[in-house]
Amino acid sequence: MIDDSQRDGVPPGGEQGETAATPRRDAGAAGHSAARRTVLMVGAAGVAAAVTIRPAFAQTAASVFNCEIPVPDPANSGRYIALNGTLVPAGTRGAFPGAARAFKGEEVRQALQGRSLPGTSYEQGQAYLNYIRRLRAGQSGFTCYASIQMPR
Amino acid sequence: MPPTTWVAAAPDRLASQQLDVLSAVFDRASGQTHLLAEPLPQILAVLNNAPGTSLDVANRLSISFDIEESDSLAQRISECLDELAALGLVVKA
Repeated sequence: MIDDSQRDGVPPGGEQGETAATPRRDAGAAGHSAARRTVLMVGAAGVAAAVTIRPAFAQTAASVFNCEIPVPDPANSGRYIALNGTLVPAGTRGAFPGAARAFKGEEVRQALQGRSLPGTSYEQGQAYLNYIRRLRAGQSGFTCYASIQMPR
Repeated sequence: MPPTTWVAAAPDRLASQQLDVLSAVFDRASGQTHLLAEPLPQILAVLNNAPGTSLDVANRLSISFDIEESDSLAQRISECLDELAALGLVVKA
């Protein structure tokens, strides 16, 4: 529904050229917003609305089985891993020392689906998985983790 | 069975750029770039820091947008959430 106040209003920051894809999160919040409402195209049932561009390293499917993710990365060896995956000083209460060996990509893939990481307690495994989820480009293990994440 | 509650990826994990009618979304966690058409970027936006069900999403979108009412709207939103989940951009709470 469009009420008159919305139809006649000037959208805040509504510069020309703004597309219908731009959310107007404040529009109509109080029922008398000055923002003009846009029509959202929800698309037809069964029609995909996304395309994914995969980096070239995603093509090497076999690497998921053989690649490795050290926890933590060598640059941070000696630090502990908190339950939320952040690195904390060694000896921090409630945090875990790094894994004795790097995990294989396949081990991590299965752990993300609910299995436990080999040689870890439940909480320890969750801390390690959270660490892995926080990996960013440039960190050791990121490429392996990214390969696991590729939609099939 | 209770309806699924969805959580969007943390905003600092994503870098987004509007490309005319598409949104390019780079996911730092997966290293992938997704080109999203309506209504996927809008669904991500209304789930940002506010988990919700497909019905919540439909209600929040209707606050900001005109959406053609139809019996299939909830089904379509649900489909879109499944698509976003397959990309790793939303997860079940």
